[in-house]
Amino acid sequence: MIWKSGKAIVSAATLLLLLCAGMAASSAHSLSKAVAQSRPGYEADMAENRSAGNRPNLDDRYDDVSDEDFEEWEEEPKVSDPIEPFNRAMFTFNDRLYFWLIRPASRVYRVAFPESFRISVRNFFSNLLFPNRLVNCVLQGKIKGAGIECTRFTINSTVGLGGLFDPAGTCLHLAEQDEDFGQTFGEYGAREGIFITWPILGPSTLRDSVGLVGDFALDPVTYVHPLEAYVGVSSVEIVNNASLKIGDYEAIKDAAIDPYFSVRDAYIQFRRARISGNSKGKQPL
Amino acid sequence: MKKAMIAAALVCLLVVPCRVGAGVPLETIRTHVNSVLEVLRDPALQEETARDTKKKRVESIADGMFDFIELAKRTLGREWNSLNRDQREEFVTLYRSILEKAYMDRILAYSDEKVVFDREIMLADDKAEVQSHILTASADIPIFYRVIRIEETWRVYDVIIEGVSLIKNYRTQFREILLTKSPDGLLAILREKVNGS
Repeated sequence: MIWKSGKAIVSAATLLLLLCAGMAASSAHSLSKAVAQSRPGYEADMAENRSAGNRPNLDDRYDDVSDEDFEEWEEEPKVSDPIEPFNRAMFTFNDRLYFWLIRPASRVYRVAFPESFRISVRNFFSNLLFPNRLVNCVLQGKIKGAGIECTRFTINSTVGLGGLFDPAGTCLHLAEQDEDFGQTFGEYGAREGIFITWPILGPSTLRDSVGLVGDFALDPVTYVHPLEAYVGVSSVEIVNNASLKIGDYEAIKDAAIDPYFSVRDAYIQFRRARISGNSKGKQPL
Repeated sequence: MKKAMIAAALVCLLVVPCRVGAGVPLETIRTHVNSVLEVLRDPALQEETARDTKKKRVESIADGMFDFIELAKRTLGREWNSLNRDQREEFVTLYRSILEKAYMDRILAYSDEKVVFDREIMLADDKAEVQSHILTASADIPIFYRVIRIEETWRVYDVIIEGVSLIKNYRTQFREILLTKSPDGLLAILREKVNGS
């Protein structure tokens, strides 16, 4: 009895030793590779290799791609854009609005007010959108997110002085749960519908536009009276946020071959990525 | 004797490092990004006159970090096959120039944002996703690098910023253009973009 179990233990240990040896060897290989790659001259050598034409099989790299590759790179559904002429017109309108009005105003605003102030203003408006985020977290069944939002609102409104600061984010690392009605509809299976570009509001889809109605309803700023005050407050919000992002839109335009298609695609990808059904990790290779 | 065997087995288990998440893709990308940051932070290169030097150094790091052929293939997808050999070579060169032109200004404008590498996820034997984010004063932007191992080196073939994939974005644009233009027409547009602005 004792002799049999002893034999079993010896075989198990031997097997384990062989396994360890194999894994240790490959890990050592990876480790030495990692060490080699962190060597200071690594990049210079790589560049030299390439320019010296030392990359073997360079010709093969330019060969046809195969059907297998296509399957791997399988794409997501195209966005439907039947009113493209209208959308392009609105895109041009928004582009002019940005370069002729919003950007100049933001640049002046940026000179007048330091970044920390402008971040506080943004935090303030962001804090006001707590009800919208909370309702949408709950509707989507994201209870943990709802809890985080409640904690954030409580802390930022009190310790954060009415939402000007974000101690919940910076100290407690509780991230804002950016949910809205468009995403909620998406979680419930509503398809995005056609692509629509609204003046001032920018790119959207049919589903997200319906969602915007709900978002406006739960935005306290919507209820500011009289109309002049509403326009004033909204303008401050727009110019303030734009001042923190000057250069982003310009960079997208510069990088694009066709800015309209680029912005449309970026918006669609961005929205699709936010809906759990298409969550990160599920992107095709 | 029995106890010794068990002890030996346990020691083996504890000593063996984890193979999963070995970290080579992440370390590779982190090294490249840190090299770029070093160039950008170099006190000797802060003047306007040193801009070209900075540019060239960043470009050479990018050459080692990205696999532009893979990027180009995946962007064009099926359309790659309808280009002949010369057109393919020219496309890769033009695509690379467009990307460098477009993003170099943004990279050179970097001041002191923090770049944090979170983790890597193996997508396949030779593909991984390296997750990082940039902390600016006003935002926290997730940037994921998709890397592929070609000839024992890990290189980037896609960059995903806040859920938006670079190659998918260009793919849409090139697709739409190729609906109405031939490959030569597309190349002409790209040439104009590189030489124009």
